[in-house]
Amino acid sequence: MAETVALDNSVILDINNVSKSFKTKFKTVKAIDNADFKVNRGEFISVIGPSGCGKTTLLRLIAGLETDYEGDILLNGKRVDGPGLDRGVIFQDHRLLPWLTIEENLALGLTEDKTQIKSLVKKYLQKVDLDGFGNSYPRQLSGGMSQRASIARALIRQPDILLLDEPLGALDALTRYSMQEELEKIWLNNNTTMIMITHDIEEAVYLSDRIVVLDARPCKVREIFTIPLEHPRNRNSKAFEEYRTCVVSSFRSAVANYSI
Amino acid sequence: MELTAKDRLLRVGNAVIFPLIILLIWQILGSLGVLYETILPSPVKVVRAFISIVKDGSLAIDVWVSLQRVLIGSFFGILAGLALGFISGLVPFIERLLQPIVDVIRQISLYAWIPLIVLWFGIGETSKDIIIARGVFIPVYINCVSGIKNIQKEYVELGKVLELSKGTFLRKIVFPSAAPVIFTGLRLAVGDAWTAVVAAEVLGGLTGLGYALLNAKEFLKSDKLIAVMFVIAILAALSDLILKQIEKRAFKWKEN
Repeated sequence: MAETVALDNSVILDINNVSKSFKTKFKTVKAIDNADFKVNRGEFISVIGPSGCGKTTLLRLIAGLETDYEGDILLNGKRVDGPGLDRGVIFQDHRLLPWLTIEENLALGLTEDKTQIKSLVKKYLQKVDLDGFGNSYPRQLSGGMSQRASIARALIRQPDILLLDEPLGALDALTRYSMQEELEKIWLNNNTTMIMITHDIEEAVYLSDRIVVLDARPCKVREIFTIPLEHPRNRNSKAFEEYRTCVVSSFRSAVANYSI
Repeated sequence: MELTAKDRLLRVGNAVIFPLIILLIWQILGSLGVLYETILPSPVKVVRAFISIVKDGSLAIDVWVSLQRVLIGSFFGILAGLALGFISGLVPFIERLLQPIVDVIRQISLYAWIPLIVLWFGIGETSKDIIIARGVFIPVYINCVSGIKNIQKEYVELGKVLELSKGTFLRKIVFPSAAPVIFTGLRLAVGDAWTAVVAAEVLGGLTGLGYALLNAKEFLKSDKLIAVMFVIAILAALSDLILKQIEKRAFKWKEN
């Protein structure tokens, strides 16, 4: 347990010396080793690291999908020990239920009254540029549209923090580009704190206020970059390129350390 | 895959060519007098027998009687299969209790059950309904359990993340995701129901299609016997076709 929680209003999420091991019959594998960083309210943070390094495990811990860990994950000062509506989760697969329309998918589990839900759904479909698709089924939507719908499903619950697990990983390059801009727009318009796992460095530099580079096996924080560029960012600017290069070299050495 | 009209025609063509060849050879052998008529009458004779049982109304009565049995027996079998299947699928403890019993019931062939059921319930309607229900119960139960148990863990996670209530989770995630598997069980079940009704009627009955088979055999009317066999095949195929259409409509979300 943390002795004292820093009462800094701007800190929404405190990853405090978090470690996580998986026990199998024969051995114990340390997936995360003393990960430690803070996330400020309204910030966009990307977490990058070699594949298989435990990034997703870290996100699942924050989401409360894994609850057995050492150290503290403090969300609004409270230790995370299960899922909650204060966190929205975007999975790599859009995870829309194929038997429900987009509208029904967004409304799933909402407890407001019917008319309220209807107007909420409408509002959030608009936010992700999907008005008019409420009555469609997921199979009728493209990959990018489905992922936008899943973002709307998370946002409609107005979470304090949005957790994105390689949200654009399954999309083709072109869709990915426009989705990055879409995501930026959504973030700017909603003031939601976002933590995104990605392995795309350019994506991370384009979107993030800060980038956490993780070392592999066990996963621990290697370096944290601050990207103070204004939004929307110009991918072709010299500054953008410089930051990208910095992150790439840090990522390279993280990968170099990574032996199987 | 989009099929053109030509493709479709070709497919149907492929499907009927082989049976037609067999029919043709069968008819030629019959006409040549190679076949012993009482054992294997020619197709033309079978068709004539079919027309005669349609005309004298006996076929309609037999079909109606058997159909009623199929409907009633299936109703109870499906009901039991769904009820126990749902409980077993949702509660591991109940599944552990029921599974061995279901396995034993399943391993003993339906035909082996018939004498006991007849001994207990006589040769009336009750025993036939029970025999059919026993046949129908197994596939419904098994598919129901596996449909519910094999829900994708991704969807379970989604339910957790969205903090769905138990009821909403069951209604919106578990049941819809299990429904296609359960429906497959229903289709298997209805096929089994036709098998079961004939077995029940052959082994103890005075009416229905199975009895018509037995009766035709007793009187060495092999043309009628074969005609009734075809009728049974057509009825079973027709039932499945209807269920297939319902399936298509009910699970529109699956189509591409």
